Amino acid sequence: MGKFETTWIRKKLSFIITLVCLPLVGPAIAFIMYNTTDITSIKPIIITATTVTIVFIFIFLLNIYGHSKVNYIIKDETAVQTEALNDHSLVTRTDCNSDIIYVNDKFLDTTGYTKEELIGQSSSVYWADREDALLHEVRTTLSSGKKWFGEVRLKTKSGRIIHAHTTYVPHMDGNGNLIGSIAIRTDITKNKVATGDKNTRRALHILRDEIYMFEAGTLRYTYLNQAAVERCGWDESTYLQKTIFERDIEIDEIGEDGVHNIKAFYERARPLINGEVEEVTHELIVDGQHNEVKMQLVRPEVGQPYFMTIVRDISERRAFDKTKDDFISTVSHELRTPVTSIKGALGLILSGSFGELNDKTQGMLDIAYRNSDRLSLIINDILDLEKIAAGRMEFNLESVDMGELIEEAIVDNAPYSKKYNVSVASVGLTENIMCYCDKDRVFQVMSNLLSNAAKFSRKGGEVIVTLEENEDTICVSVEDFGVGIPNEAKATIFDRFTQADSSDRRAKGGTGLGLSIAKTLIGKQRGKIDFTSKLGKGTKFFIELPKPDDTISDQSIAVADIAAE
Amino acid sequence: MGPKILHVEDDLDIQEIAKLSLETLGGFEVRQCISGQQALDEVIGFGPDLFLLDVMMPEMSGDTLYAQLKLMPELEGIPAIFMTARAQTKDIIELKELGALDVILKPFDAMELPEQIKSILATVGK
Repeated sequence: MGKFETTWIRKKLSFIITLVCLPLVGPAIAFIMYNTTDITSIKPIIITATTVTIVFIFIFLLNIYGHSKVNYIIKDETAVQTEALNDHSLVTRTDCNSDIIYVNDKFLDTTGYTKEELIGQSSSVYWADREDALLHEVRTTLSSGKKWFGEVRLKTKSGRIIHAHTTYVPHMDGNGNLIGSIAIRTDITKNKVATGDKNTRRALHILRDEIYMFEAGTLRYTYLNQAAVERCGWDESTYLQKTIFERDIEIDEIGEDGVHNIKAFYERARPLINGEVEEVTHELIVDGQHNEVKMQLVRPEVGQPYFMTIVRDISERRAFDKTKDDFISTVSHELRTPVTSIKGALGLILSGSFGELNDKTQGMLDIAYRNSDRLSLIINDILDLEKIAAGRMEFNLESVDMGELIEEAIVDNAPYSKKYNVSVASVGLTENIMCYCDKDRVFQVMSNLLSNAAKFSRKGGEVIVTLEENEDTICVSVEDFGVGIPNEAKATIFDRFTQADSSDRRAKGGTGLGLSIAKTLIGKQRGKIDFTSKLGKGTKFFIELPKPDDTISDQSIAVADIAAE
Repeated sequence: MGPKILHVEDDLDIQEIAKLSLETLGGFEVRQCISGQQALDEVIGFGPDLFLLDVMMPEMSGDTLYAQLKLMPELEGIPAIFMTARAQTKDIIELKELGALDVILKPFDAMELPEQIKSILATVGK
């Protein structure tokens, strides 16, 4: 038992005794006077009684004073405890429906809500998302009259997450029904984040990749892992005083004058700061080794935002890419060389250079020549697909006059149109409708669409090529009035080795790869390709490509592909 | 006979087809070599007006051969056309940067090869 409690009980006891004794003093004196006739003989008694009464009254007053003082101390202790609780904890009280009936100032300060915004609302308003199961568990526990202890995640008004150790105490009525609860929480977000950071850094420290973390405002390092420290040749204890510009390798940005500069750095970081991208990447060659440098802007729940740069040695990947490139080159050489001989030899015989051929021989050689042609196309298409799959196809993006390109494609495709007796009309091919694309690749797609349109038109039919200009894009359509695409084939028309009718491949020629390649080529140039078709009425293919944009530099998409890997 | 072409190609079938095409259809005078070394040995005696060089050849590639031919003062100003099955844009750009007039892709069309070469030569007034 504490000293405070002992004192309180003793004082309480004397107070009770006084209260009991005081009313007895008066009647006792009266009783004695009544039984005594000699007033002088009772004089000392009266004096004694009066004195005793005064003493008792004095003690009584003293007790009242003492009692009020104890009460004051008790009240004072409670206030101190409440103040401490309010300073330390986030306290809320809810009714039996979990609606908020009280929130303390600390809770309001921490969550950013006002009292008016919370009182009367369901307590789920400040629970973090995806905590439904926990919320249910808390409510079930409280309903059964038990307390609940544990960690919960709360959401501030601005959406920030707070981690809190929480004690829920149920408030039950006489019949054992829950009539409310009080929640007392300790904000442990900082500790939690610090522990998380510590664990993360322990893992980062042994990574082979170099990790550099630096404050977004001061660009001063806050963390370097072992590999980064080794690369910089610094001591682990000294890097905290350095900024990113004190490093002798151009990981982040280098200025035109050969030194790192802050403006150039923020130029690179701008898309991160604006939230346009998750990360920015560039490639860096140091001592002949290829490195990929990725930078991210981390906005933590607690603390200041910081940049994180990850430098990864990708020499092996580059060596693998080179092997793949060499393989593609070798395969293309090995396959094309015999095709050159076959096609060349047949072509020369068919040209009549060695004399006239009889009809049967001519017919057989025609078949052989046509198929050598087809084989050559298949090789080109497969190599194209291989290059696309490997992310090694190069796209030289530039401003291209689309009308001019389409005209060239129509002229180039004229033998095909002639072969299938199809006329090609064009609409809207005015000059200076510019498009941002790789001229050769778009030409390849246009050739594919034009030859398809000719092949699948009826004899004597017409193909219409239209060029339209939209606000940000240009749209080219190639329309034929031929056999159309059956509904069941529409979903797979851009798949490899797919034609509306598999017999088409043999009858009409082609590899069944053209549209698949077209779709990939257009997609890689930030464009779209689609079609509409009605069986027996014809088909219309559309290509949409971006107009030139000053914000896009003339860079190769292959580089972007490498970066994206 | 028309202009003299030194054709260097390691594949004998392609050699034969190119020879037929260039001589019969194009009217060129053609000397063919199977390797870069043979070309270096015979080039002065032949005195070509044009080099037609395959790129991927064992021992000495077409681009290496062209670099050596350019070092010989007596061959100064003789244009070169490469023939290659390597169709990647960067390969073609690299070959043109070496000073080649143009690059003909394989498989080439034997019937159009002479005209193709004539039109390339016409661009430099030959």
